[in-house]
Amino acid sequence: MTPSYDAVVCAASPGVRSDRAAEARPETISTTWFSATGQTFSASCAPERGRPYCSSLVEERIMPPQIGEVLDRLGCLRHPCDLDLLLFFSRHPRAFLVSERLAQYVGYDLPQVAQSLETLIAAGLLQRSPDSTHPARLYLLTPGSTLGEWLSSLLRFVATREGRAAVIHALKVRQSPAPPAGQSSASAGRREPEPVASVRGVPWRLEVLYA
Amino acid sequence: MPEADVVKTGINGLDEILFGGFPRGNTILVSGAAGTGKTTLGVEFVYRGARQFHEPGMIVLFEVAPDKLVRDAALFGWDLRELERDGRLKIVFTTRQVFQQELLQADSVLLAEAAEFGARRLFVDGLVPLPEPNGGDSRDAFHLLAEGLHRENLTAMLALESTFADAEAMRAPEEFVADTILRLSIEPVQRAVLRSIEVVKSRGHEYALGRHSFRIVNGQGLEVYRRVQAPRGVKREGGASFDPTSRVTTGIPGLDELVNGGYFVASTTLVVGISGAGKSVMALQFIAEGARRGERSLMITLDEPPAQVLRNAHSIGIDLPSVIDRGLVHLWYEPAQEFEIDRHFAQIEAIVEDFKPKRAVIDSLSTYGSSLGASERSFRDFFHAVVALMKERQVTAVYNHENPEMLGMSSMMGEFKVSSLVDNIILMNWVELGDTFRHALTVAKMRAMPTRRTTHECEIVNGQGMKVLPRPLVGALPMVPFASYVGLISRAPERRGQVVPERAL
Repeated sequence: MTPSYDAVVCAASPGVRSDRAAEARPETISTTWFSATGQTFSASCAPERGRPYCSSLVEERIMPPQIGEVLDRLGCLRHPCDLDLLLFFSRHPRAFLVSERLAQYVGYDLPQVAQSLETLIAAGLLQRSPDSTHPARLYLLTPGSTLGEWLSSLLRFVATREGRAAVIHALKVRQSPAPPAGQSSASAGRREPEPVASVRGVPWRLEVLYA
Repeated sequence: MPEADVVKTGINGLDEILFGGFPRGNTILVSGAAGTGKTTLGVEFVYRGARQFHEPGMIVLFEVAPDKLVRDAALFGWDLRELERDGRLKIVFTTRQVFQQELLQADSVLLAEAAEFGARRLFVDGLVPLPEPNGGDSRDAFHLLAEGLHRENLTAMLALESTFADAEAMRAPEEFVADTILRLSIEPVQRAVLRSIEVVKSRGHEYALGRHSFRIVNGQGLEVYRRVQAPRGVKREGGASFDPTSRVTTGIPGLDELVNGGYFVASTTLVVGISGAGKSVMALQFIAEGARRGERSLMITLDEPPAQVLRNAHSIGIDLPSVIDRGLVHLWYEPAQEFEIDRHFAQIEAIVEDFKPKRAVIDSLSTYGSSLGASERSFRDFFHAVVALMKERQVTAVYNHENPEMLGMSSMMGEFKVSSLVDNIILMNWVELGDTFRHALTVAKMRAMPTRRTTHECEIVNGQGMKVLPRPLVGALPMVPFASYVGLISRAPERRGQVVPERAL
């Protein structure tokens, strides 16, 4: 049977985990756990609306401070093209393509794509068949590398439009030039990116109730 | 063909149509319009190969993103990611141009990738008529592609996009080069649609001709149902019993005497009459009689759901739930809406082979007629197939048929021209006497048995069921010779004026 869904967006403060759902329903049973990648999940179930049970699974997504941490852990991502290539290869883990076509798929110019490919290959996130007489190259995403867990975490986050926008924003902030002498490092350069969601209205927390 | 040379698809019902599977190394073209099921067929071919037959496979995609393919496959319970992790599957995303170019290379990266993990099967999704690289026609281009695949000894399935609804119009040049062609289509039937698959050609083996139905079933994949008209072999056609002595009792008190002690084993009996004439009651008693004798009976009901059938049985003193629980009766209900006749027949076939009944009842044939069209060939073919199945399995079968005429009958079967297929015909009528309709029964046809074709009164008693009443005057009535009448053939007989000596029975 297909469950019906009620989506409730809770604009909770960043970094503060709200148990609003549980508070609203005293009989709610809640549980919280943490994934290996630092993600926090919580689930609750409770009788509601005449139905015997209602459960909610809440994934508290990576917060902007955590974006910085994930990017730091991965280390290699510098340019939005790096991210979009990673995203493309996560959806096409074994792709046999000419680089021009790859550039068309991700929407960047060829030199940038070539540079980003080198970045990902050097980081061990991607393998490429050896250069030969063949115009096309076989690209293989290697999520089993030592960075795999952080990569999975990032890819889950950028799977949404808002998540991708937040990470691209973070990358751009990191790319911006160093601050003039005398200016605080917290406001420019390699500072932690500001919370994009507060600027763009991205919800911090998406709660989906399965009723 | 040796088993090692046959590639079983593992797809439910398809190997039966292919008489085992494809010859190994065949290039199989799957053509059909969007939404006909080409991708599902191809993915299942590779999935079953890797999962059931230890034949690793590769899937090549041009437009569908692999993660979407993996997601969609999960709906059928196929874990493609697991196969990838185990090294039994590779999903490659590429472009048509690269793919075509690759197969022309002696050191193809793509084929090397396939060879590296021992791929035996390949599915290429979304092929379009290929442009020949040096300006030739697409038939040449496809030929080059097929040669490349053959070189690697891969059994390759290529899904060819087609936008034509008409089968002849969509005959692509590639079809002449491919070893096997499967054509998938969706046909409108009234306001519903029916999926069908046709083996247009297949080099190196025999297969069942014609269009067969299939379904795409969530949690399972494809289910192919052999065309009901397709011959099932000599065994079935020659399966009728030669047993001139055994009889299958009817369960209707008084009726066995009229049919010489019962029906022949594996015979086909048609009970014809208007609604309410007692056909379903007779069917229930036939089933109950089998259960009483410890014989398994199958009851196929199309008009009434099981609960209603159980209630009806209870009203005439038959405890159907008890005999169902004891495994003596299988009650199978299939609502008549949107019949897929190939599937329906396949289900009957499976039940008969599994349950092994001695008796069977179908209530009623008229429902098939209203779904399939009584005058349609498909109805007759279906009925022919059912009769052949029952005879092969030595099942004595009774089929109810509703005749729309309330008083009397001008035709036994109306539009249903199948009476020649049945061995026995029993007519159920209403006879209006005074202000009451009374039940009448006439045994109109008994193959290989004598019958009087006299009409008998019968009654249905609450809590007891139907019985044929004794005919105390039988034998006392004089048999008047034809010579006493005029107008016999013109169906307006009149007694002659002159006295003709009467002849006693």
